Amino acid sequence: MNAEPLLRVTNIGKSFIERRGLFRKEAVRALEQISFTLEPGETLALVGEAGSGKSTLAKILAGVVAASEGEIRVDGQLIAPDDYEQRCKQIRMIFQDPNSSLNPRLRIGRILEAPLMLNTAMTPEERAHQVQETLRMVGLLAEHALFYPQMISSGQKQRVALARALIMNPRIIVADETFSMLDLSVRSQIINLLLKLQQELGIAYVIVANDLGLVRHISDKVIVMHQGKVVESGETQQVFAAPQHEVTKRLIQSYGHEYRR
Amino acid sequence: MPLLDIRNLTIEIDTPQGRVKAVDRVNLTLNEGEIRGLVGESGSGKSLVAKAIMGMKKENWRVTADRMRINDIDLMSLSPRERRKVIGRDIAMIFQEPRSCLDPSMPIGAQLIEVIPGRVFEGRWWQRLFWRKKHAIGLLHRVGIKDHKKVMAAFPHQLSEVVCQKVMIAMAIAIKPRLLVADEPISAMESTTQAQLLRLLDRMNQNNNTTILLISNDISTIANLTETITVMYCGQMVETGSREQLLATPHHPYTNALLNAIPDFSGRLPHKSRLNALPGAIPPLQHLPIGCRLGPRCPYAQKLCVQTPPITRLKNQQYSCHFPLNMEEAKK
Repeated sequence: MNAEPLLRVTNIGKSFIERRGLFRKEAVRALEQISFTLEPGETLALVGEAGSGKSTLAKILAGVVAASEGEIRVDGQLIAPDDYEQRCKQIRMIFQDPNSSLNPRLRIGRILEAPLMLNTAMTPEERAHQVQETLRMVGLLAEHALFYPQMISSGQKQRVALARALIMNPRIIVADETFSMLDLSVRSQIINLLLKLQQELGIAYVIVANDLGLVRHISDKVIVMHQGKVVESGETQQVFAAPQHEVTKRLIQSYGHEYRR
Repeated sequence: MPLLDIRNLTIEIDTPQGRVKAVDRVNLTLNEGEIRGLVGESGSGKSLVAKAIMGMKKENWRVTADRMRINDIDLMSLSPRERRKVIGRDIAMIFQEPRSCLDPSMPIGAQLIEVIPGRVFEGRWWQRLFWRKKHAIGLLHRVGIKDHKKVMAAFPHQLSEVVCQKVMIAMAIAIKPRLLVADEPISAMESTTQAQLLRLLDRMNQNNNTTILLISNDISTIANLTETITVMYCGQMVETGSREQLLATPHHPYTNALLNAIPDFSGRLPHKSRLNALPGAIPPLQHLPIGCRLGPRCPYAQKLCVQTPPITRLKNQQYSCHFPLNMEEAKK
């Protein structure tokens, strides 16, 4: 086995530059330096309030936003911020709203085929085969490749989004608030699917979530963030059993029995 | 006398595939000062019920009801104009996604002042100068916004979602409504902000005795606030009961599934184990199953389930299922 972890993030940070007036510029720290590692088959959860930088971190990992400093290594191999060719094979992202993340003018087969066309030297037959395989893996039928996104329900759309992430056989999947838009029964179905795929394929997940009950259930490690800083991190069970920091305590307190008369 | 009394509300929608029953015989009775939860997944018709109460109809809807009364006014027999007057006086509504409901091109203060009706003015004639502005500031204070100067001058995009929702609530209580219809006011927000808004709604209920119809897609978040909960599935009312009854002994399999779908914080489920989810997906309106609409997805479905189950009443808990769960305890 390789001693190097699957994902190693070292001192990653992000600051946005805001213009104030004509000449003055001001740097706004969205994310203080963060480091963590992730092993195959593990799930890392990022929790925190709005504006705590958890989405920024997820976007940096997926390459949507370039980091200001720090480095990301997958299997010990450095991934440069603009190295999309490597990154899109290793790290894939699922977005929040399944209804708006799929192109309504393309068939699902075409949506799933696009990453294969751009990144692999597969023949059209091989691609079609791969698309069918992946659709089956996420619990859809091969015929769904011929459908347009508006013809299927939002739960099925989220499955397609997951299929699009899976089709490159990635090592890591980043899911930014993927569950909060879904209905309850569909949500548990998708979670079951994610857990099943993790067991079978050993994919590591980085999830951003608000629902702490869910986080507790599916994640191995958790990072609690507040205003761009990590305030607490560690094994999920330990952090939630004995929260140390004020922010974590408040989050846990407000969860579940948020409101009692 | 109940404040809102709806019997057998049916909403049919004309679609290219023919007429579909989006809401099928829903009963809703709200007493004065009650908080009622209306729970259901998307497409269950809970928003349609809210819109039918508010009279926001589209061309292709057909709303029928045996009875639809507010206090002692029968809404169904009024002309649209009279109806709007009654609704404008007695009912207010708050929506999901507050930021998209506010006018992006107008400062908050102006929008808030616009909705304050003349009838809420209390005072002598010489106090009329700028009374709307003073009243608006008072409203903002009441919903827990302390920095009224900044908020009144701000545009919706400059404020956070919670503050926007608070402004929406301020607008709703500006008309001093007797019934507040809250259509998913807290979905897609974090738990801390959810708690804030729920606390605000509760305070309104207790201070002003406002009746609240709280619509949500998540039973667990609103369960603590509500006294009675109605669960809907695909336009049918599946179960109604007090909070304790519903949470402890759900009779309908769908309510049971909703309660068990999401892992809670207690950690009763083993880590990373499968969650018990209902199989299948919510059927589209054009292809609703006959009989009990949960039928094809229900783990306890039997042959009888192709007939629509009648609404049975047991100790103030109504359910519509041929094979209700948790009945042993109820029989004792």
